[in-house]
Amino acid sequence: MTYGVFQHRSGFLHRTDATAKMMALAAWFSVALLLSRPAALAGFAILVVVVAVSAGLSGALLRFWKFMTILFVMCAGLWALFSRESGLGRGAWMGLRLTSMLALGLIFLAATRVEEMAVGLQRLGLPFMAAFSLTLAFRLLPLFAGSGAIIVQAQACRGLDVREGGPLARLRRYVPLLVPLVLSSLRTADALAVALESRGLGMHPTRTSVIVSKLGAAEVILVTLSATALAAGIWLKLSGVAI
Amino acid sequence: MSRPAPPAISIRGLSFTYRGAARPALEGVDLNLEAGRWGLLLGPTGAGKSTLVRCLNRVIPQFYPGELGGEILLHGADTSGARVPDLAARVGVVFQDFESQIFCTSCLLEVSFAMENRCLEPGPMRRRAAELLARVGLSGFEARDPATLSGGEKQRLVIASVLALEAPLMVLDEPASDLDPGGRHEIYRLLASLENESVLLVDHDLEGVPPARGTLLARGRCVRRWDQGPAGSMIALAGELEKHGVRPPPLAALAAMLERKHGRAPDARVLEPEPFHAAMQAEGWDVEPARASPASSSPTPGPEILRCERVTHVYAGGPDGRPALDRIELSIRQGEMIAVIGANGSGKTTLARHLNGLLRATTGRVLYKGEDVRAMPARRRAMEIGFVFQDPDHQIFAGTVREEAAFGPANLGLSPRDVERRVAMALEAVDLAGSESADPFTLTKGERQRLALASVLACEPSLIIMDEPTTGLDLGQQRRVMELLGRLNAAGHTILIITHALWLVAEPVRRVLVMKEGRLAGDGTPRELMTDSPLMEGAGLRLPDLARLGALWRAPLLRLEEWGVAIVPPSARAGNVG
Repeated sequence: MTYGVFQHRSGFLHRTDATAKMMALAAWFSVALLLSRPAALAGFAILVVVVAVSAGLSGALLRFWKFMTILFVMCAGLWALFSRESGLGRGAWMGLRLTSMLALGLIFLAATRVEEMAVGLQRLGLPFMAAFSLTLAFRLLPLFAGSGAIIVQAQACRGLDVREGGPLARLRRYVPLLVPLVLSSLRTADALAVALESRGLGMHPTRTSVIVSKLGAAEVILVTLSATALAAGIWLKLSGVAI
Repeated sequence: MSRPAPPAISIRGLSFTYRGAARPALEGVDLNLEAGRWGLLLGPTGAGKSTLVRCLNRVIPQFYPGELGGEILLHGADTSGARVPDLAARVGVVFQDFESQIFCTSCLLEVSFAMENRCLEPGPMRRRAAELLARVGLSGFEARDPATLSGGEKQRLVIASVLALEAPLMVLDEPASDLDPGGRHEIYRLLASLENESVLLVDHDLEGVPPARGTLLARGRCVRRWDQGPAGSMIALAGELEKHGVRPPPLAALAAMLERKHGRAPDARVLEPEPFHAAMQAEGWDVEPARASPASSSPTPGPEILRCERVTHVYAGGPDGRPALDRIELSIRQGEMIAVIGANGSGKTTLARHLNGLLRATTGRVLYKGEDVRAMPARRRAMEIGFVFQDPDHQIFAGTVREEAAFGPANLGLSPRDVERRVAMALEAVDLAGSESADPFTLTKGERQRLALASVLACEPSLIIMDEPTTGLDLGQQRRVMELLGRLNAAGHTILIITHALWLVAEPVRRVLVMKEGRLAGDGTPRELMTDSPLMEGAGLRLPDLARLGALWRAPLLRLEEWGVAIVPPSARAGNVG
């Protein structure tokens, strides 16, 4: 059982170099932040879905549909409550923007290995250890999630039901889950640090990679398209045209 | 005249006390391993073996602070002051907890990690990674996500990843603890095939381990050291090894038993079934299985309590869409004691997790006393079907042993008096009575394993399922767990264990299920199945040495005690004939 977001596929996004994908992701995140008109936000959301489907990653989004729905509802509700331009409709569009950005991030994670991300960040100028440390969280989270799933099962086998009782009782019922999870996470993190160094991490100031970076036509098209979209967005915004 | 190569490992007066510990984990240990040779470091759980391993590549004191004394030289060079990554080129270490040594998203990347640190070029790196994966039996696994591998496959992956360091010294801390018998044999054969490397193997089970010089540790001190001698030296050591929680090669234990009983033993040069059988025949030993006919007092099983109806399970995102379970039909009756065996990845754990409803069958269903287990309320399921996970630390959370054992019954909504009664009964059953106020986190692994069982036992389930209850335990602890399960079974509990330790299956298990590629390949008594070489080998299982000797003698004998009774020494035979 795997708990990581990465999906083993062979779509066009998987074949694209991580550096190009990161640059494109940054550009499209910026574009999303420039958008404010409902039609543009709807168009952006549709674009995200089209990318997910064409890259064979719709499953990655469906896996997180509950979380994305909660995010959308909370964002819409909070915007409606606290924004000066209050109104549920406006909140819903803002929720759609945030959810689309999250979906875009998930598509990136589903199409890019942690190791490719580290290599991509290095190509963007980050020192190896900084790039490696940044991606370490993505390595650890699936391990913690795996332990968490076993702990939930182990305690359920002893009759634990966290949905029972009032709020305080429920909170108390999480202790049998949290204590083993925290302890096992600490053990995992410690053991991982030992394993990394024991296998020579830090043996030399530099390091090679089995992943070969490639900047071909696909990468050039993706980055050019993304940069053009961002430049157009900025130009329209500076020209006073609402998008 | 060329000078002899310095020893691969030279340890003098090594002592270490973990910060805050009451007593030293190691005390004045000396150890020597010649370059290019094999060495064994043996001892029971808590002897200090893993501590010594951590000292070798300076994980102690870099990651585990404490008071360190003594000297360690690797190939003649002092390690003091070196960083862990500096030593990676000199010593490759496979640590005991293999799960936490896997951190990449594909097997290729995992094996390549060490080579990336050594600054190899991508092309040679890919080729070498493929070679190493093939060497540990994972050929073609390059693109596989390690998270989808079975426990044994992960263990092999870690070994390949450490071999990628190409260090002249390999240290392996129980590298085969989670492997099936065939996998263990393959790993030892692989390690024996390393021509240029020195190997220090840390273990407490010597079945299948090639003979080598060794050191026996107990309570942090070196209690015995021996050179690589003929089989006789291992026979002489068998009793002492057992006393210190190490399982000697079974044929050494058998020969030692014969020496005690008859004053002599077959003069086998190699402690393998074939040469041992040949030596017995040449010297006139005989085997009369009838003399060992066990007093079969198996209680008649009661009514059926659990039934699997064409249970198939396919993991979402699993490799190739191959079913992990394939149309399993199974019936379990009240009072049975069953062992599920099979090669790594054969579907044992997946099957067990269907039996108490942890997993939902893709097709088919599991019925407990006629009711679909998935439809049973979770609380009632916990009351009826107990499941003890392999790692007790996945469930222990409480401040005292009593609270931990009381967790299950308290969740079932029982009165405090009933909870107390059940806790007392469960702790008594697992020999933890008297430790009620102890902090569970200060217990040994074996004690924590027993506490995990007690906390399930306190729910008084009629069926108890245990996933690898003896993994990581030394000989004494393994025997105690099996004796405990035997007692629980005699008291009326139906018990199902998943195990790799086929030698443990001989007693007190009365029914064995053999899994092969998600299917039930065999179902019978231990004696029937353990003497069915084609079935077992077809399922990727290597028979224990005593069962293999039995196959050569056409004698269905599994336990050492049975062999001790059934073997007739040459003189007795001559007397009988005369």
